[in-house]
Amino acid sequence: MGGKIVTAQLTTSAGRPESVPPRGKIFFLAGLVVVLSFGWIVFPFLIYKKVEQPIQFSHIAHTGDNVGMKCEDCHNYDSSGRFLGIPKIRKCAECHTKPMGVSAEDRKLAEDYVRPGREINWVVYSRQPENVYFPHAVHVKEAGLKCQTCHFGQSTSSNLRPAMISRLSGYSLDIFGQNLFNAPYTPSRGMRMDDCSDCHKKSGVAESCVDCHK
Amino acid sequence: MENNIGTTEPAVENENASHKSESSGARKARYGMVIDVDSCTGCGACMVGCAIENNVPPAARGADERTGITPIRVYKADNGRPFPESNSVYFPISCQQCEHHTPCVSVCPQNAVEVDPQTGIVGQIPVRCLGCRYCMTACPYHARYFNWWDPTWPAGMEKTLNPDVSPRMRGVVEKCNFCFHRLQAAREKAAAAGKTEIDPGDYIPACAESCPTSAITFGDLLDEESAVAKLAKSKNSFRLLESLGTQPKVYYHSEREWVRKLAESGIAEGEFGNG
Amino acid sequence: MGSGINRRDWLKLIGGSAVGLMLSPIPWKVLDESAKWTQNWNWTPVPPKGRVNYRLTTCTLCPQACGVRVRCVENQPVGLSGIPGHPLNNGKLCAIGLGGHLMSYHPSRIAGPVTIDAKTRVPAPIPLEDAISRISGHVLAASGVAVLDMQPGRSISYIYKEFLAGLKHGTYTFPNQTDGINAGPVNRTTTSRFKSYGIDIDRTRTIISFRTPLLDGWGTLAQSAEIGRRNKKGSKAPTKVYQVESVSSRSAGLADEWIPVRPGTEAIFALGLAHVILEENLFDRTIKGGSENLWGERSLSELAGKYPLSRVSTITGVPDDKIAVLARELANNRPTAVIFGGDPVGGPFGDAEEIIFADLNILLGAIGPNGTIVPRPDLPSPGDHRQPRVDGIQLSEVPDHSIEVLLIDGADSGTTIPWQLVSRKLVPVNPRIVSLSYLPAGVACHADYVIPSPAYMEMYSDMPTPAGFSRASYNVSVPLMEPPASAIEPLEFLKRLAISTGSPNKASICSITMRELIRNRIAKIFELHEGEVFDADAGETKSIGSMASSRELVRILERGGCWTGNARSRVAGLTYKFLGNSDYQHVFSAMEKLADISGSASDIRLLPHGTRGAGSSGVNHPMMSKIYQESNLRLPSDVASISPSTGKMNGLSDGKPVRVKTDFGQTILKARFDQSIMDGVVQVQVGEETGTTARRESLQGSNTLDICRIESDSTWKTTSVQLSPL
Repeated sequence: MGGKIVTAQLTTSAGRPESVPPRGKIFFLAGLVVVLSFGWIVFPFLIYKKVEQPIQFSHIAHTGDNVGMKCEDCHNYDSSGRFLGIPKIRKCAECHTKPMGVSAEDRKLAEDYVRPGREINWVVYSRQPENVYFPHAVHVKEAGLKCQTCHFGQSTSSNLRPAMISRLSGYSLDIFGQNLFNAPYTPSRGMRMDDCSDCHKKSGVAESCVDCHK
Repeated sequence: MENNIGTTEPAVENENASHKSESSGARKARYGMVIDVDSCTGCGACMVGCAIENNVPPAARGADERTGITPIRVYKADNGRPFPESNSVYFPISCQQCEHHTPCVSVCPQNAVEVDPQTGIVGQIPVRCLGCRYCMTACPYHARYFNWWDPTWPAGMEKTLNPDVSPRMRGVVEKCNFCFHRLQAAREKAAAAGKTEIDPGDYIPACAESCPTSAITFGDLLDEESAVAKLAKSKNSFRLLESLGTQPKVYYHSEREWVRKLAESGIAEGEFGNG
Repeated sequence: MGSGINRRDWLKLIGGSAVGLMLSPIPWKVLDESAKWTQNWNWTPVPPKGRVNYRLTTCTLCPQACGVRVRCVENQPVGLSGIPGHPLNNGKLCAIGLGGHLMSYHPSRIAGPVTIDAKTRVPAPIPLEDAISRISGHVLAASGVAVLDMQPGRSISYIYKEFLAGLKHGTYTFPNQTDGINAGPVNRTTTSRFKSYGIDIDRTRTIISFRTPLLDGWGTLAQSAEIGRRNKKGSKAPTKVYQVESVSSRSAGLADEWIPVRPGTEAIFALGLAHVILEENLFDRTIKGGSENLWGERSLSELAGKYPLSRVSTITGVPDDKIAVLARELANNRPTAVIFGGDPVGGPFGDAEEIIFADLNILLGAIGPNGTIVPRPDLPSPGDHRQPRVDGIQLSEVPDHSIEVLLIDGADSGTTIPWQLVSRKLVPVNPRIVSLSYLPAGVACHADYVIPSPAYMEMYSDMPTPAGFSRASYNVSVPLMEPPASAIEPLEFLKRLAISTGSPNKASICSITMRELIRNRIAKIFELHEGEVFDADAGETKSIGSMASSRELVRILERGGCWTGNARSRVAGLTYKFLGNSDYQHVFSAMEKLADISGSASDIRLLPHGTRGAGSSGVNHPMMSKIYQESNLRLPSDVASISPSTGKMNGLSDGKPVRVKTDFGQTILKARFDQSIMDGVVQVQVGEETGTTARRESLQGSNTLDICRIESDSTWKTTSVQLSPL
């Protein structure tokens, strides 16, 4: 009885070709590869949903040679030095009371927003939680950072890419950096606390809780 | 332990200061307050002004003096004598911004509170708090308050929230932060105007601003020319529970000796003169 | 290859997946995002964002007219502070004023016109048209119609008078003046004829206050702070403050000396002081000939003679040597001022008592060429054709049971008075009461109809001279927020009522808006060509003479500015009538009655205590919970404070319920033992109840004032109570 089995096994082992990996390893690798690819390729699109901007605003159309606006013409400060962020509809209304171009977006702006005085609910890529305090005046005016340092190539974009908003937390992928495939803990040009912290350390600037939180 | 009444020695070295890099250029400050309790009328404007400025919600149903949130609270104390010799005093007590062996900082498991090396402000970031309330036990001044409930405002009143302060959620501890959001705003204003230093008049906490008798003087204790530094050094200025050695940066001032003696004994005694 | 997938294979598969999972972003991302999600619940409100700007206006929550700097985000008020340099409040606000912008969102705000069920007091909505037609019907059929203006002196007050002038029996009335320096007694004892008086703090070295909360709420905030500053030890221009009252108030605690007197004996005490001053010849030398009733028969000195120090001491409970020492202090440390009344919920003193206080002022030289009491002229009306054709009378002067329809304006920000004072003027059968307030505050709780007005900061309003201020002043409050659609401005309501009742004055009433009305008044003030204006925007003061036109005055006043008239010189060349115009017998017998009423030591007196304006109306902004509910700083209105011995003598226990019974009603309160309270006194707050941040479903209007004893002269200074445990 025992002998038969042994013989059968020996025969099986002896008959295996050299180049095929052990069976266990295949399953292991299979599991590994499947989950890895799911995690890196499919999962980001599961956890992030694409949210389109309400209007396809073209920065280059405003900053280009035709109009020649600068960042601070729309993205400016109030009298106390607070940064006002994305302008309200009254800023667009300064020029766009009537459709100015030929695009459908332009007509949408004039008719659906400027005329009724409705605010455009932009999806803010760089929206941070309430407890984060980021003073633009200190960074741009005092420290001399350029807009592009944190906001990449906005000024030359011709449309607004869709925002990738996390389904769980509601915050944008931009906080982590541009690349969808960036590992969460790789410091990149994102806007996470560690990113701010790194730059503060490098610049030798104060970095206490009360400097960046409110 | 000797009484150190009347002396002010804000410690420059602080083992509770965060070990982060300090700013090379900015001047170091130690913000503090002197509260003249002879001028305090107990009106409560500081309590209300503070709560409005810091997005503290109005009392939840069922909240009382134990479970309410009052980052600055005015206590009444009596001289313990019966009518007609009774005399009372009002003590507004906020976080005393302890400089030395800051009790709440040393017990927090989350590092949710720290002493800012640049300004001396004991800053609490409620988001980081996990709600263990160890700091509430540790604080000898009972200056910390727990959010037992989620903050709710009557319908529409959330429009009146201060954009400079983030509302907290339930389960976290909060306390007076010397309105450091106003310091942030002052810095922003100075930066926008191209100045390197803030205008001291731009940074005043809500309690000091709202006190109708100007009993609260606020400023940089290290600036010898400032009113607060001079008043803190006055003969009749004192700190609460001096013997604990917490070196608080909130001073009190009274010409009345029985009031000064109270600082050592604990404010809770004789809250309504009942001994 | 093999014989099928076995368990080991599955395990390897799972193992590989696990490793892959760890190396993929899945677990870390999910943890991260979940953590963020748990810290940002979507029911936690997010503060508004946008442009921050500052706007300026005047507070209307009490008559003191503080200048307010409103911090706005995209024009939404988010925080208030005082306007630095403003003559009335000099950069400060009180606890109520700091939350004024929150009143619009009060959970008990009355959203639209309602009728109130007489029994349940539950409001039911009614369309405005129906309300107006019903109220018009009542007005036309009524035997007597009155407007009770809780904040008299405003521009709208003149329109009420116009409307009433067009009715057959229209009465314009307001609560009895209790200013701290009431005009009545001053005018009755001197030949001065001004309508109101203030006090010049800068000249005053000594103040004796009879129940006036000098250091905690009386006067403008700037005055209170100034008195406090001068009152402190080491002050360069010290002002001594003596507080004479039965209640352990904050002023009593802060004053140089608190002189506790038995409730109701304040005037006797004043008479004792007068006695010493007359006997020791300490009175002001400018009182020369031309004084009536000072010496001889039927005179003040005869009256004072009936109250020697020993008697005064027995009646008031103050040792006689103390009375003498105090009298000498007052006389020798002039300029002195005697301030009486001004107690926000205690009401005025009786007219005989007021005469004694005024006499004391005269003896001390407070009214006269070197005096501290200064006259203030009246403000002009909003237009020549708007001269009042109906004169206003004090509420006490309204004949009893003569009013069938009563319109109440300003219940939420004016004086809080006992409802009895009003109810005795109403006809016994089916009186109709209409309140024009947006909160169930004070006397508004007794209304049958409520036509809610816009809240503070939601409409144009003006504020006349506040109590005690040394000069005439004028301020304007401007709308900074949109009122809800269902709120109706009182002027608009009055227009509809005028049309609906066919008023002969309807053309005139309907011809104007609130803004135009106030601008007309500003133009009339400009025409006075006197005084100066504090420009809040510029932070400087300029004289009227330097302005080209009234338009500049309008611009400044609509931005938190303040006009103040010229300081009047003291009233000179006066002759005095020490017992007033009344029969001397009246004053004599009134004093005797007081001496009797003050009663025995075992008599327990109820003393209501409160703050001015909205403070005692019972409905404050929800942030007041910080001082009423979330701390012990202020007591709510359901607590009765008594001394431990009084409590024990009546079988009470600290913290337990107590029945407080008077001849006029009873209420159940919570007893609180406090050894700084005088024996025989029960101190009860009027105003905030515990838990007022919650919405009120019914308009219940009872407070301690409603069980007070109201005398025939409409005072309620002393009420006897019985205390018993429950």
